[in-house]
Amino acid sequence: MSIKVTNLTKYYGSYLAVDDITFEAKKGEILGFLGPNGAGKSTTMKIITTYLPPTAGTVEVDGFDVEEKSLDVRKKLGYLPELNPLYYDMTPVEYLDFVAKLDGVPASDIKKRREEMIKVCGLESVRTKDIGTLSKGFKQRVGLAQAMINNPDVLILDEPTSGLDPNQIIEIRNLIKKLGREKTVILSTHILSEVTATCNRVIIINKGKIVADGTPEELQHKSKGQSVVTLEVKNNCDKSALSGSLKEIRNVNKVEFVKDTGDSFVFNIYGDKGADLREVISGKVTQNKAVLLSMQAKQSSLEDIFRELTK
Amino acid sequence: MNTQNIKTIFSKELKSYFNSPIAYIVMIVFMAISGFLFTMSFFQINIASMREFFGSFFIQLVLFVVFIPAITMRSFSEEKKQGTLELLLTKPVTDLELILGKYLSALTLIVITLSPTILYFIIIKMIGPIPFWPFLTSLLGYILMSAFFYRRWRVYFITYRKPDYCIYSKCAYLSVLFPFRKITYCIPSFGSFIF
Repeated sequence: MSIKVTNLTKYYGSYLAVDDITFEAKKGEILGFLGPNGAGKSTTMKIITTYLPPTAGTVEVDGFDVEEKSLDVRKKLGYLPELNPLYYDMTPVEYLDFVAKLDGVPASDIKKRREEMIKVCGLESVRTKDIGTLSKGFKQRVGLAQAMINNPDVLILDEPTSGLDPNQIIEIRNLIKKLGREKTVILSTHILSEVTATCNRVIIINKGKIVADGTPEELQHKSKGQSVVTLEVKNNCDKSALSGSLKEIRNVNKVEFVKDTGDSFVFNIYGDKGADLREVISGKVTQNKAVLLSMQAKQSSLEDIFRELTK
Repeated sequence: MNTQNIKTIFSKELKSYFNSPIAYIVMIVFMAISGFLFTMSFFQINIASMREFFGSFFIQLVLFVVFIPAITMRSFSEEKKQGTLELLLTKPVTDLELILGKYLSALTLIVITLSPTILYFIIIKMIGPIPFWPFLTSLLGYILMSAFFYRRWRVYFITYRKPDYCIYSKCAYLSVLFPFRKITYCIPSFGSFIF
């Protein structure tokens, strides 16, 4: 159940949307697609789901080429497009039955699958209401139920949690994580915390190109940012002497006085990447006869990496 | 080709026509206008014939330029606008199955709309001699002509995202050309070319 994208390129007229990208997603992987608006996330997804033809390159889903064996690919897919496609004059039950029939779910299983999806996505209370009258969160859940109704091997979700409230987001993330164990899931998002919470692999794309590929931890490691230590000392010491001696530490690039809270001073100490400065700093603090109140080393977050790579 | 898929799309389409007021409005308006136009000239001529119904320019105009686009508009432009075309095109359904399903459901709606004309025939039969076969072939002609116009309109709607823009432009185009349709009597293939 793997997805193999090789040298994929897509032009819209003369506009280059996806520029020669290559990656692979295997079974049991939840792949997060990150990127600023217009980076080519949705386009890539649309090509994988056979909605758009690639300009160049190939995409294979479970060994089937999306252009030549498009029907076989579609049978394996569950897809939630960015613009959630719903028929507003149908009820969730009618809609799910319709989609299940199209997906080729055997007639005897349709009811079972539909009830399962209604339970999983929490649609019990709205099952006989017109979809057009539902709130955005419920619509999104109907869309998710639609994508999963045929129990697909490959799930492609374009911004699955948009419009959901925080509780629902956690529920849906857990659901995706559960599904991800025996399926291949690709999801796109621009919520960075979502990636760290659900995905076990991240691809960051910018202007149609892959700029980073790896687990969230790997990416954090690769970041070329600097380490930052926030230091708080009691205000009965000499501020300038302390900051002077902190500056003398090897690997420290900058010492910044942040604020005087009334009974304490707060400093930000910027050091080289990967250097753990905490031990040396506490030594310097005692040397200056200052009282250490708190010290915190800040790791560079995925957000920093994202901004660094897509600037 | 999977007939199950065609059936699924067909029944979904037909249901959505009758779920919204559009089918009812269009049918009632068509029956009212065509009935009015037909009976007006029918009593003037005073012959037991339905020629005034099937030959009426205005009834044809209402049917082909107002009624057919109204139902065609829903079938592809709406799907495109709502994004549901993306859903249908990423399901294991071939394009042919999708188009046939939609086509057959529109044709069914047209047959349902035109079927009350049988009542005209029965009533006229009671008061005067009216041959059956010319009536049936005329009705069949209307149905086939509608099917043809449905196809023509669909080509227009499928290429535009905004249904209202193309309905204005195509209406204007057809209204200008419609009086010249008699040309098609001399050169039949010309008809399919201009419309």
